[in-house]
Amino acid sequence: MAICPNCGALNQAGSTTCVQCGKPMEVIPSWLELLLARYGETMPTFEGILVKRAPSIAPTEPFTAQRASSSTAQLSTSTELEDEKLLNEIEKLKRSIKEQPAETQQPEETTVSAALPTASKGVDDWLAELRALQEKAALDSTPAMPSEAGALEAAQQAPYEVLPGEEDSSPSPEFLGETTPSESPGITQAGPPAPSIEERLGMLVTPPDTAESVPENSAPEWLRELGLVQPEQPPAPSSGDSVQASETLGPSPVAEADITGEPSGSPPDEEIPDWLKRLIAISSQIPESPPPSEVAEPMQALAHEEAETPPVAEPTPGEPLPDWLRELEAIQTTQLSTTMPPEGEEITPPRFEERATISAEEIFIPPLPKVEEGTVPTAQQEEPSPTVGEEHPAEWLAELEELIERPPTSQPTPFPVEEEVPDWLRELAAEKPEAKTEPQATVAQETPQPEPAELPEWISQLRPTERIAEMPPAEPIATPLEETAPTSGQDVIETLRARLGIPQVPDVEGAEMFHEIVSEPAETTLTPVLEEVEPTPQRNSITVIIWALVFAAILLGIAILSLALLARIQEMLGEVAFQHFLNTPAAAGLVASLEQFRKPITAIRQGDVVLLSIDYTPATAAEMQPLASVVLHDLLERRARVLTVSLQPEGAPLAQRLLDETDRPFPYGKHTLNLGYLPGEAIGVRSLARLPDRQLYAPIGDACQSLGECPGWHDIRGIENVALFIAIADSGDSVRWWIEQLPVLSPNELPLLAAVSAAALPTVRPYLIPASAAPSRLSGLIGGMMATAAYEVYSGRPGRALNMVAAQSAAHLGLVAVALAGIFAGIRSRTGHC
Amino acid sequence: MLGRLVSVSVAMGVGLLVLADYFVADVQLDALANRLIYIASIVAAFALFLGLANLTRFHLNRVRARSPERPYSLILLIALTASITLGFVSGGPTSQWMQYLFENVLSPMQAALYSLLAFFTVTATYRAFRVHNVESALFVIFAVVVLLGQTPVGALLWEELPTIKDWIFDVPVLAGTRGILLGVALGTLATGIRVLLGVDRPYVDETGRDTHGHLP
Repeated sequence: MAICPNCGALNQAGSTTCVQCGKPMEVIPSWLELLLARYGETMPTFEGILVKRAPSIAPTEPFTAQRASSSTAQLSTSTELEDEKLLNEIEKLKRSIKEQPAETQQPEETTVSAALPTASKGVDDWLAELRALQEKAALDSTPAMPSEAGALEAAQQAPYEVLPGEEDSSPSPEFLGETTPSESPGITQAGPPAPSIEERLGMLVTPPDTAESVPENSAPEWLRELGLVQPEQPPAPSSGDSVQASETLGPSPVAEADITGEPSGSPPDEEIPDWLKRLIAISSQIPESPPPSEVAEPMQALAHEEAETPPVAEPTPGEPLPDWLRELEAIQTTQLSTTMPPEGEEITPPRFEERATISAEEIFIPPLPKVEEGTVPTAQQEEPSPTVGEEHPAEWLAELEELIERPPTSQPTPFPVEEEVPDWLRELAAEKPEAKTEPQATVAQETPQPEPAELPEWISQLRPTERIAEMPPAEPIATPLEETAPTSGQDVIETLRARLGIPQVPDVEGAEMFHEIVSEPAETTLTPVLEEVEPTPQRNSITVIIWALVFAAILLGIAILSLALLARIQEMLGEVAFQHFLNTPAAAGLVASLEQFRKPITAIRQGDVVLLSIDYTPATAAEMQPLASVVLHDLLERRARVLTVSLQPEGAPLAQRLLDETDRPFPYGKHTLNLGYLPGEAIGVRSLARLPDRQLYAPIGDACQSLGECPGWHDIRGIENVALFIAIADSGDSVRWWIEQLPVLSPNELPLLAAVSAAALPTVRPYLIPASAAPSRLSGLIGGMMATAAYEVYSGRPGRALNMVAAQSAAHLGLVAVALAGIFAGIRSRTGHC
Repeated sequence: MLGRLVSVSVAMGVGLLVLADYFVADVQLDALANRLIYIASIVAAFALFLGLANLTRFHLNRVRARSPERPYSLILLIALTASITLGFVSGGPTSQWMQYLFENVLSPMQAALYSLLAFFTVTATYRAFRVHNVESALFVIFAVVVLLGQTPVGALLWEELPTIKDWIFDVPVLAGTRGILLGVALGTLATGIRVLLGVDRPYVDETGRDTHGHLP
């Protein structure tokens, strides 16, 4: 169980944040709960409780009120505990007396006295008033109270008296620190860093002037409710100098004088508070019961020696302290250090209720193991623990906390050695399950929850409101997303979406698709596939083979039939049919284009240079070779000199083949030259600017390697000496390159003719523009087998083109027949009559 | 970075210079542009060697990888080596041996391969000439008219067929082709401007890949 220090809500053990307010909280040690349960007390809901504080000696008012409602059996145990607390107080008083030698008292007195005005200024007025009221209450109420109540009252005053001393070692409220920024260093320089017992005792005595200056009615109501102020009682008498000195020097000289019984140099008895006298008397009576030989604990030994024996010499500063005193100092130092917050940790100003809660927590540290068996009238006397007196005090405390803070199990954890366990621990172990099994809610209902005290208005006004206002509001710590680790990819997506603030849009389309897929029947898709898949491969292969054989037989029959009918077909569709066709009006367009093409050729004079570009490959040579041949013969017959180039690598040998065919009437080198391949496509056309330097594809001896070197060609100095450009190409790109680049080469607008294949004719035809419409570089264009045959007819040199026209006509007829067959098959397939 | 800057600068400068020569009639500028083009033609000739090297490496890798096409690659490599060796030994491409190889190996093979197009055309005609709608019917009609109008047989069947064929070539086909060519010309113009301005740099391999698309 853990109580939130902010809202007081109950949380589960181990919780780091409060479920109610969301603020970080600390856990109340379980051993404190067990101790409370041992004494029959339930855990009050203290607001702002500080957990894991070192045990101190101050009880709290809520706890005192709760103690009044405890049972009778528990009262005895509580009384014993209170006695033990009282003994602890006495022990500390004695220890402080021992620690301060008589020689060193006087300088400290002077130092502290000198620092008194500064120190008194450093404390706020309300704090000084509070101290005075406490002193008055303590002095007035101590004689009338019984021993237990007096001890408790003294312990109640402890937290308020310790407050100034704790300012050096424990975090002080910020609003107090702000009001005394300049005075604090003075105090720190005058006294030791950590508050000593003398200082604490010195704080028990309030300066009378301060107490007198504070009216009774000025005490706040909450202090009266706590029982610290009794307005009905008159103020305690005090004398100015002596009381001031006792305050500044602390109670050490007074206590030392009382304990040691020194008549000389000791302050008068009337200056010693009654409650202090009573405490000393109690301490002197306690050690009388055990024999001196059995004294093992330093505290009891000290009490016994001080009561029975004359005072021993004070230890000098150079002398080593006894072991028991070092152990006690070590314990005290450890306790004080545990109260110190770690460095760098932000300290929140505790409220007044927190101070009360601290005391309530500290008062429950049982000092029983410190006491030797038989020395304290508690239950340990009946069954003393043999090891307690031998162990180190810090060790037994650590072991106790370890045992209590052990995680609870279903059964009580058995002690390892029953003989070594004291009774109170055994009882604690026996009561532990019961205390744990009690529902906390029930306890909270039965126990009246202490309400947080309200600060008076005059105290609230002292708070630095502007700083509080500047402080960011305590927002509830949201649970980090990382604590809930995503377990799947969807969680990661949701987490990212939540962080980025992306609204979640329902995937309607995906859902519809999923529904559609799911709603499809599975039988209709699987069954036909299984029926078709198995027999298909073998049947298809056989079918393909059969149909291939059938098709091959058909083709073979057509070929045989064509051979048989070749003569008849040649007669019907050959030269005779074509010449008949040329005489019909249907050939007017063909004849017109041919005449346009031949017009520049017929204009060539003898010796003119014509550049013939052979831009086709062996693949289209069957169609292009007759066309190139008929054009070349036409040029050569007109006594023109022909230069051949090629924009394709295969064009150079094809051009050479053409020139070789005409070599007999027109020798190569005299009428024709092959300049070879022009790499770079369009750039190749531009490279003709250096025409005389072009190397020959087929050099004529060593004397004719380039155009400029060959005899009969010296007059050609550049492209401007060319009279006609003719491109014989099987593609439109080659013609386009010529059309695009030739104007740059020859600004004289030399004519360009294009003889292309039937396939390239549509792509080149757009460049053929009538001269009346716009100037065009392309002067004539012919293409296809029909044009070639017509060229042969018109040139008077019938050749292969006329024979090929018959074959082409037959092929076209066959294609038309196949197309008709396909149309018929399509119609049959659509009507279902296969 | 520096190499890229240099290449872009050279490309832009040479391109703009040659383009200016197209519009400006200046002797010196013309000579400079022609010189640059001549250099470019030499560089283009080396592209054949690059193609030869690439072809050789590709088929060598295929042979080393023992792929199913290894026999064909072996045949290609052997023919390549034989042709080059024969060309160097016999005295160049115009030698008798090289002419023999060209006339009796390369030309028939290319012609035979191209002749298969006739059979492809037949099968395509049978499959494609199906009348499914108006468009397919028009397609079939135009095809039959052009096939018959290209030969004298069409004129024999119907004298107007060659005329119709010429009209088809001169009007619909020419209009469509010109539209295509105009589009190509505009695209070429835009591409040329982008290249000249350095927006497009096809001469710079900015992807870090080699010519085969492999990462270095």
